[in-house]
Amino acid sequence: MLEFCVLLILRHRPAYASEMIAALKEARLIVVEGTLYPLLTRLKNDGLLAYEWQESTSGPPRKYYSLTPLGEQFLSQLSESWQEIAGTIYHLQQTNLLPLSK
Amino acid sequence: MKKAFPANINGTVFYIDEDAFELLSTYLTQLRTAFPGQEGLEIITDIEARIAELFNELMDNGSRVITITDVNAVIEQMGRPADLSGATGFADETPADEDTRCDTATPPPFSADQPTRKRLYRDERNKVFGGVLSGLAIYLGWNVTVMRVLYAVLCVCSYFWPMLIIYLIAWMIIPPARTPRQILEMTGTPVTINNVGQTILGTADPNAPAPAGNTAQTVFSVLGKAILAFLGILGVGLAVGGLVLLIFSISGWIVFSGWGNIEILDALDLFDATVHPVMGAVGTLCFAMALIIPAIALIWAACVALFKSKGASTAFIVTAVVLEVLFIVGALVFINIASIGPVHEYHIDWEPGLITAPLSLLPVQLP
Repeated sequence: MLEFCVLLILRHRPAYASEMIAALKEARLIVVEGTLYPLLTRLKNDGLLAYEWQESTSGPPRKYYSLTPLGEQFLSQLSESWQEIAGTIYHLQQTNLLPLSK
Repeated sequence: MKKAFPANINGTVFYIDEDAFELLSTYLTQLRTAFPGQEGLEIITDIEARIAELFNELMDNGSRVITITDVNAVIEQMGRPADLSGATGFADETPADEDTRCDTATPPPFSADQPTRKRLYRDERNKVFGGVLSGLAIYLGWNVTVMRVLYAVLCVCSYFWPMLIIYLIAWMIIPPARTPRQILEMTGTPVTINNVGQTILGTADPNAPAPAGNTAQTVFSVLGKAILAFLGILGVGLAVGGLVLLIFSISGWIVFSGWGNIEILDALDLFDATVHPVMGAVGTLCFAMALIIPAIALIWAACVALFKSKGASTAFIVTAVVLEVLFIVGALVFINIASIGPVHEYHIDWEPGLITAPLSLLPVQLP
């Protein structure tokens, strides 16, 4: 779930951890920041993310994460299956069984 | 008022309160347990960088020192180690399927109740002199009063001096439990965020003495203070005696020939002053200093216990002890030389009689 969210956040441009936190909070996904770092490291080690250091205007350089081609591919797969699941759920929510026929 | 010192977090220096530092370093240590290995190291570096960033914001908002409240807020924001490793399934060695990864029900991979090895500290919260006995009692799991009575009995049995010296040495070499972490280590409580936090708030620590002690403890405390007062007076006596000796020896030394003080030194029967007055005067000076140092120590100790004055630092105590030893050796050597003869007949004789001789001259009769 959270992986999906992170990949979604990163699909347009690279971002660093605090930005992702802000985005997640904005999306009302309550998350302690510490959860994000292990996740980012794992996604990076799985080859879905890459990062580069960028100087910041204040303080030390920041790690900007971005999607790798593999990450993008994975994201589109995830999106597809998400659509499928969402579609299924939506469909089931909207439809009722036909009333029992005598 | 709190101690604060600079701490380097991810390349930026922050001034941080001592207790806040303690809490933060405990937090980071726990993260290290929660995230082992090379991968964990990277995560922790990231988290540290983020903490530094948060602190930086605080600084920008006008804070000067990181306080315990700030650290608590940061920990709250970052999440506790148990939450983190459990929530992300970091501990799962097998690469989990995407679908099963997010179960938050997995227990944290490390136990918060790891047995912690007790360490010997001085318990300054519950002390008469330096908290050596109360610290030892906690270490051994004994009752403090039992420990003190036992010590008192041992003192009487050994004619006081050996036990007193052992106590003073223990006071010097055993560190005091000052920070929350040390207090937890002293009682053998695992050093976790919760415990550290509670100790800072003063609510943790089952072994902590109740503020209002029982009757026996009060009686003992009064007794201890009486003993201390006596020792303090003894110290004053020693100091006065030492000062008198010091004045005599300095005058004798300055005058060089030794006239004027020979009679007094003679009267004191320290040594045969007519043989080598200068050496004798130097020796007496050393002896006087050797008297004054423990005298000051006694007075100070009494003041610390009775009036809650500031205790001596370890460096100060070590210096005093080293000086004391030097002065004793100096006193022995010079008095020895003086009593043996002129300079060209140097012969240092370490007869035990000579070592005990000066002690019999203490202005106050020791118990």
